[in-house]
Amino acid sequence: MSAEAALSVGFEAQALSQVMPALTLAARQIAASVLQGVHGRRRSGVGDQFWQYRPYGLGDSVAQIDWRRSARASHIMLKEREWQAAQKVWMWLDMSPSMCFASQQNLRSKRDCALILGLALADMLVRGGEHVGLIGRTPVQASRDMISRYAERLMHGDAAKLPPLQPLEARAQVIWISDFLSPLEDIERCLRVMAGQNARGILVLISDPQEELFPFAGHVEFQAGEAQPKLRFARAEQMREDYLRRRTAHIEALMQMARQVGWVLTRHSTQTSLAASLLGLCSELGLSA
Amino acid sequence: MIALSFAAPLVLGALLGLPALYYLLRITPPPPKSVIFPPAALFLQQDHSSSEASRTPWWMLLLRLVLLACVILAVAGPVWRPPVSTGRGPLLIVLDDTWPAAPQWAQRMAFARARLDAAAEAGRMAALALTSRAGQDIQFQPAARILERLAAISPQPVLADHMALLPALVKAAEPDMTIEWLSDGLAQGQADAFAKGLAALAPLHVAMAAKPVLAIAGYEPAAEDAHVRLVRSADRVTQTGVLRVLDGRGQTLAVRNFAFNSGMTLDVALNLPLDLRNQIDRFEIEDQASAGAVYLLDESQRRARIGLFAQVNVDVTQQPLLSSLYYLKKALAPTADVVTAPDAAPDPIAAVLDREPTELILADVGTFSAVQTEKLNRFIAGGGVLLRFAGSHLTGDGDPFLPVRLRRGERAFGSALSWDVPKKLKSFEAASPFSGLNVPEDVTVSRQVLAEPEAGLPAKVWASLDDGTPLVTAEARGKGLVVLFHINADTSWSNLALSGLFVEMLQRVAHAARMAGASGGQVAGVMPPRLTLDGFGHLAAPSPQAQSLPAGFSGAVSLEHPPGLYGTAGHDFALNTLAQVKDLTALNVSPLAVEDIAEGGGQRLDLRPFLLGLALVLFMVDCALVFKPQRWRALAVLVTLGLLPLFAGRTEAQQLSPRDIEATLNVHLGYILTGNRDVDEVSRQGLQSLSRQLARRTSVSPGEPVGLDPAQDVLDLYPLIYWPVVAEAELPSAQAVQHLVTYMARGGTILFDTRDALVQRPDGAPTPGQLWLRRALHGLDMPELEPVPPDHVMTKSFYLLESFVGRTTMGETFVEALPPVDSTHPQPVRGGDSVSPVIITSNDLAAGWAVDELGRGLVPLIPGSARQRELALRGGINIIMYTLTGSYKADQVHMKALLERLRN
Repeated sequence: MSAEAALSVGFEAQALSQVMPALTLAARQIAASVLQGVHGRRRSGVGDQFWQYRPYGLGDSVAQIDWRRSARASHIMLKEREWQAAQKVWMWLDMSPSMCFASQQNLRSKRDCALILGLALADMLVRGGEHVGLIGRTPVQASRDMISRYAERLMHGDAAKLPPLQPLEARAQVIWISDFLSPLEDIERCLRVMAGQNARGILVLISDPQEELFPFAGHVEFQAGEAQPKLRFARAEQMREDYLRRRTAHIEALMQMARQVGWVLTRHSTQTSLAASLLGLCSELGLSA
Repeated sequence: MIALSFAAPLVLGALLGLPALYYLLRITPPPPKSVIFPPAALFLQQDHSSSEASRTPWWMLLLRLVLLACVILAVAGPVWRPPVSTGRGPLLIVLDDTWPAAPQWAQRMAFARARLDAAAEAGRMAALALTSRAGQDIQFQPAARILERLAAISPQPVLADHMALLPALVKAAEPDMTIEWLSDGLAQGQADAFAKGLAALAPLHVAMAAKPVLAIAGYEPAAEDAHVRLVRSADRVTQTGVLRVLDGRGQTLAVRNFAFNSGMTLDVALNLPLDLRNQIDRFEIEDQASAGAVYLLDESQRRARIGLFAQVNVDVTQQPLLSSLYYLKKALAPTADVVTAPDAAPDPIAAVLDREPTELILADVGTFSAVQTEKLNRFIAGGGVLLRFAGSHLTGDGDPFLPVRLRRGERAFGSALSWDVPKKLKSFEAASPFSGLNVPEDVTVSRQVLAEPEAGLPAKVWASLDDGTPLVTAEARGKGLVVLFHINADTSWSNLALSGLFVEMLQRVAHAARMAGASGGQVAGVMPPRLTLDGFGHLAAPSPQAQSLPAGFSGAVSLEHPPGLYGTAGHDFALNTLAQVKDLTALNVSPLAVEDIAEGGGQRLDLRPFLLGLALVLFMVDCALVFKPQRWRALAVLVTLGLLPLFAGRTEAQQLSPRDIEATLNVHLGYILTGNRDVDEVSRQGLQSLSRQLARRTSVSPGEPVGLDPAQDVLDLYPLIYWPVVAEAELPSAQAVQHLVTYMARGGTILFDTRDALVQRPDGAPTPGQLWLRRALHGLDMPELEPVPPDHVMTKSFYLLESFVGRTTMGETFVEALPPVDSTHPQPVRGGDSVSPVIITSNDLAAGWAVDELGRGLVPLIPGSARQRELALRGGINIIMYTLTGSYKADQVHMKALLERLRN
């Protein structure tokens, strides 16, 4: 991906996230992290919100003494705050060659859609107080120029289709944006690994209208990628039914897999507007702060 | 007979390969559309039934087969309508190169060339015989050489002499030869016997033109009108044309349409007034470029020359209207040349006769001396007309030159002692030469001489009064006429001289004189040819074979006596093409088939370019069809590329070289390349060192000096062009001059350097360089030049200088003259309105500037002081600054210094 393409995608993502409100995940389960965030953990810890006053005991930190309260009482009182933790969001954006496909000049490529959606989401989450990281590429972090930093990282990153098989923290949130054109077994394996620790997740399937419709006819030679084998058909229109049937089965299987681990599959077509899809994702993910 | 032949027929065998190509194209399928489709690996399965090859559509197959067939046919070299080759043996071409063949000469030549081409290709020998001349040496040669001779042949203005050629042909005859006779279509010169003779020699093919031959046979000027007689060689076909009447300067006097309905001769009436008829020089039939279609007139058919002598006893200068000469001259002047005797001639009549008029008018002459009688007799015998007017001197006694005997005394009417009134004229009888003339009512005769009645008098009377008294009598003597008017030529005896009838009667008599003169009166002596007609009817310098005509020539035209004008200007004789030829008969060679010349000589048409062009078009269409995605765009691009050569010639963009583009970015000094290497090198070095100094001392940093050719290069990019004048160089071409004019008009300055201050003398002859400069600037609109005045802005524009020196110091520098000094507003420095377009100097400025990088001079200076080079450079800098900044310096920086200097 060239620098200019990354820049333009970054601008688009920025533009898109500017019009969206900051996103705070629904805090059903907060990952065990020491990052300070906005989710209260119903116990004392690092945070902003007041939790309780309690008498000073041996070994407590002197900085926590609230002298005004202590003056009213007869002994020394501590002020404790609620432990507010940030949720961790792990993202996997598929940068493989099959994503670089756009069937027409005026459509975005699938990769661009994935990038824009992913980076806009990351920016919204960070503005909402969460922390975002790219699986296998960056640690979970939150910063102002999320988009440009991650766009650059993605530009220089590898083009693997499937996320590396590393277990994630318990109760983290995962967002996997891809076209899922891989064998089902591989996808299932990754899902199981990622979802093993009770992480919640959402799968975003990005597809091109040509993939959905298969509008080919006549003598056509198909090639999945640059160095891939070629498939030649004298009458391509005769393959349409078969193709559509297989594709629908594939997507059905994906949905089934996601449901089994408690995740959600949403779909996005490159010819629909990104803002609509983003709003859908927001409503899936949680409350807006 | 198939009209298509092939140069290399064996190549046509490749056409057998076309079915193989068909089979090949059928079994190789066209390439599929290639698509990148990511889900293909996962969701598409290849099975055998779906991978069968698709076939090439049949129309594309047909296109490619036709393309290849075109290419094969083109390589085989097809030729359409090859020339017919008759026979195998030697070819004899008999060509009628006579004037009847001239109108279709190009077709005849094409015909003969086609035959000879075919003979040359077949390797046959050929020979060419021309029927206009006898005594040729006919030899058989390779046909290619005869072809070369063919180009040099043109028609001769004679008729063919066929039979004289036949013996030579018989002698040169070879076995197995064929004869092609390109006949002119006339049976003149025993052409049918000639045809029989030729047919007896060898197989004969005759070719003739389809149109009949038209010619002008004669010109008959009658009294009222003139007729031109036309003849033609065919009968019973309608033929129309235009007859053009031309005067001596070649301008058309009249155009007459004529139409032959049937018959072979036609008289075309001219309907022209007499003075126009007198200006006619020749007749031409339009669109017939042959000698027979041109008819020349000579002097004898034009204005008559009338000699005039009147015995006057009145002082003509004081009372001109009393002299008969006056009335006669007035009456004759429009239509005839009047010659009179010189004033102090001792024998006026003899002097007039010496001028060889066709008619002699004597008014009131009574007696003749012996010499005069002798001369008059000879004149009349030679066909001249003697016209006499009566008068008081005319007595009739012993006067040999009267048509009738006169009665003594005169008759007077209307005088004091008579009882009669003045008589009127009777209308003219049909037999009289004056018939048809209108007699006005008011013409009266009051006095006349009377004729003695005698036996033959009525036959001699041309005009009479209304009581039958003869007024004009005439008698033919030998070839000439003697005519007597019984009145005198002024107004004392009658008022005929005042009327128009007088003029007309005199014209009739002059006409009779001309008729008499035309048949017999020729210039005595040998007449050299002055202008002759060629076969096409063009009048030009005499052909080499033309010889002088003897006097009294009455033969037909021949190569030694071609038609044309003989004699000297003013006394010429026209020998016309159809002299002694009464009519033209068409040639009839009935047992033999006659070819039409127009059809036989068709040019062969090479079909190769057409076939290759068609193949190219089909190929472009095929390419366009193969590129499916943008089919129409590809087709449009290919069609445009194909048509591009058509338009390539029309664009005439002036190409700007990189050097020109570089010249627009920076100031460059230009110099003209003279072709002399040393001079050019010195120019370049000089301008380069000047540029360096400019960069060092001023704010101008010019680039490299650029050598220019004024005819080719763009001059406007350079503010100053240095022109070293080399006297041996060529003068600038017209295009170069044009460019220079434009350059100077747009504000450029040219610095001409004649470089010869050493050899110039202030009052001496111009040097070669100056002469060259004058000639070169001859066409240019040069302003007025003056030596550089001391207050010219050019001397003050950067440094304060007094003169411009170079290699030498004594030369003068000239610039455009400034307006004169305005004494009311004195200016210390004057610049004029614009930069002078021309600066002329003779000190070799470039040599004065030229230094190498170390500062050493390249050319020794004269006188060579150390400061001279510095002054030369300063002068150069001043000139450059002047051209770049104009005259604004005139009111600038040096004001104080200038004023101080002025004060001193």
